[in-house]
Amino acid sequence: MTGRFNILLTFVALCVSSVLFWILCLEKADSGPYLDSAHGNAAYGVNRSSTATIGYTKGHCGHCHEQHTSIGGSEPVPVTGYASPYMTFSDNFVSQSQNFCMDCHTGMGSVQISFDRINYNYSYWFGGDTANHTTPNNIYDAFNPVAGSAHNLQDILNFVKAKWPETFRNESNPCSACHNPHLSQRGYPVVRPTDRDNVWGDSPGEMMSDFAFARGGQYQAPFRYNSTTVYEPDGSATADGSNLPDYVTFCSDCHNATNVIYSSSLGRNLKQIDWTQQARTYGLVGDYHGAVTRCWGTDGMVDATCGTDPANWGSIKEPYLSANKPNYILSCTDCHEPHGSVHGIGSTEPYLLRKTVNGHYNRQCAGGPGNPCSWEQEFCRSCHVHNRHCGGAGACLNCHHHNSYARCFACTYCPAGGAHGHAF
Amino acid sequence: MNNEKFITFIEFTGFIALKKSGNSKSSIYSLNAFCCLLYALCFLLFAMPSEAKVTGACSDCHTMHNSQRGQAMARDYSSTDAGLVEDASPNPALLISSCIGCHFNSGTTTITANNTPVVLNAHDPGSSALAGGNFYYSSAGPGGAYDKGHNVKNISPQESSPMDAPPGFKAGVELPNGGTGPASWASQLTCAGTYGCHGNRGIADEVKSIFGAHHQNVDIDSSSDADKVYNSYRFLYGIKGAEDIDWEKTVSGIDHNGYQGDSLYGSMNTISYLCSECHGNYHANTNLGGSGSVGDGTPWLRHPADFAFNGVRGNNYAGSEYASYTTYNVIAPVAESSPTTSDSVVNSGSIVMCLSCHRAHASPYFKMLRWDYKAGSLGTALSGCMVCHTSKN
Repeated sequence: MTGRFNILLTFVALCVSSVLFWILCLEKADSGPYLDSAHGNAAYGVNRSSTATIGYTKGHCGHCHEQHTSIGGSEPVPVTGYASPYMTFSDNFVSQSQNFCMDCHTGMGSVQISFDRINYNYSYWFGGDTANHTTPNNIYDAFNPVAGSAHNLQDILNFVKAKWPETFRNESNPCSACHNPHLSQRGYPVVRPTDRDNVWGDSPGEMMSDFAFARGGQYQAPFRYNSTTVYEPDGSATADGSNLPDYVTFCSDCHNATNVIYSSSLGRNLKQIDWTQQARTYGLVGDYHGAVTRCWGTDGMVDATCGTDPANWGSIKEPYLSANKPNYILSCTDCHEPHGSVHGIGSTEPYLLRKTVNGHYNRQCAGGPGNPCSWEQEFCRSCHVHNRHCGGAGACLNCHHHNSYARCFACTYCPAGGAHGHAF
Repeated sequence: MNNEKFITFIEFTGFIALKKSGNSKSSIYSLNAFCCLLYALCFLLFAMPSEAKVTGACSDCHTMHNSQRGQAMARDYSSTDAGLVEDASPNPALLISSCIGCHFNSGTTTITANNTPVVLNAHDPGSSALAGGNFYYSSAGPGGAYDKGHNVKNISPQESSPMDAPPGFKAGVELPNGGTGPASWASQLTCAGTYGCHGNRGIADEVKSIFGAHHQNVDIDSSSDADKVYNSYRFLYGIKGAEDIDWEKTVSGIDHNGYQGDSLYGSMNTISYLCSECHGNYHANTNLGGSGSVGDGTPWLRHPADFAFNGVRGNNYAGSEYASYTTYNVIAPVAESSPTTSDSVVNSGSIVMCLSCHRAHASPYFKMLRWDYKAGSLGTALSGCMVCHTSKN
């Protein structure tokens, strides 16, 4: 009797839970990729002032696309007077400062009614530095810094339409090289240019921990701002990259060992990057911050001294020092702002480098001997101690840049005769 | 067929069967009953198409003197009264009513007893509305709103500028069977004629433009020449299509109008071309807006009409979001190059058209759309878009 009762009870419980599940998931069942996206979110999605006035609900297609360039015989604001490609309410891309996306994602004059979440930079939202990064507070400003650096949108468009002509064309928006406006989500904003129909970083196998593990290394999250206990990107105690999208794979669709990318901002081709290269062989594109193991000597030999002396590990700071992992593989976003960076004290911050790194806002200068307060040293000292450098206290990036195998990675390991190793 | 002929027919069919089977008398009765049933079925199935042509008493539609016992016989629709009122002045072609008067119903009936399709009801017809929708929603009456349908003269007042002319209007467009559209928009929209949709648009007068068509009407399929008003789809001169027998009063994925389309916006006999005779800048045909106004898919500047899914950029239909639209959906129907009233499959050759999104007359929704584009629920507002744009689903 008890057995039958238990079966009956289980059955009833299953029925009740099924009904509850159905009720709770009803809205979800109606949703799809666009409705799951940030733009298609019913609570905080796109909401152009002029079309909201007509009565279009948040997230409505009509906020961005004008099927006939006219509603009720007139073109809603912004009025261009003509139809634009993809039926967007203004031209998709004209220049760094004139861009359809930035008609909403701008400070002054945005056609979006309001933003549920302000578009601060990476250091703010994921670095946790809400004190020093209240500007830029919109995408337009991030891409158009008064003094700073930013992804050059025309360069991006030039590259992607040459690289993937079946996907990107003259009239494409360079923002869509990294985002899909119909898919990108608030928590998972990027979509690979090589996989336009899937959000990147939201599934197992797409995390930084996965990337590092697959290359024989480990990811260690940097500290959040002003903390030595919680980590990027979410301020939790998780530090192994299992909560961080694999931005290396994402960025490497463009920035890899073979692609030649011209930067009109720098006036030269960008340095090639191979975050997957594990061998430290002279002439191979590779980086210590990537998969090159820190204790490999020149020509691929394990350096025994390095392995037993943390001081030789690049003079690293916490949390890397105590974590004591043999091969740190960093995320691009540990050092770079994805859109652009602004130097807080007026001078240029190049290469989209973050101003707050590993919990440290590098505006402040420690001063004193060996601390000449160059912005580069301030930046590097976020993670490294500058006490074992055999060279001068000059600009770090003269020697230490992506794929800088032309110089010694540390002078004590340069054998006589001038064999070279990686310096980054 | 009268009763005598019917009995003879039954006896004849029974006789044939009996000769073949050699069965008893009771078998004859059974067989006769079966034949009766068969005949009745045939009668039901094949009788209705013959009703397309106007039948019945002449006086149903015409009045010789607009006078009987001193009373005017003509009745016409009054938007003020939202109903038919006595009309002392005679109508052209001795008609009792104008287009609106005949195709009006004071209740919610949408197909009258004499099989007249109703396009304007005095009360909300709800789901009984026919394929074109119902002018109830754009009429001057309490249920109407300007932005829910075409504002036809005598149903609702003329709108103010800029909606006193068709959005996207292009002057002097080429008409399907010759002639050109108006050089400017100088009138409120009418049912037929130069400033209307039905009849020969090369003829200004409403009645003259459609004269005789009701008496010669045929239920057409897409093979019709569409070289006369009466053999054109729904009297839309020069337009082809397959007419659903009940104007989609009952409608499903296998029971609907068959809309004529063109896979690459080149033909003039499509339903979308008809719309674009007025809204010219919304169609990529070179007679109309052309690619300069609408684009050519690389990319589109305005939403295309008369364009097949297989023209998707890169010619990758199979990998496109449209490949997931496979079963005809009356919320966002498609046109075909050879449509029928029972096309159930949507495939690479299916064609997007104006009526994929809009009703022709009026709908309960903003911009006479087929779904509630202004719904508070985002899923509802986009429900029609997502029928085709499945990856946005």
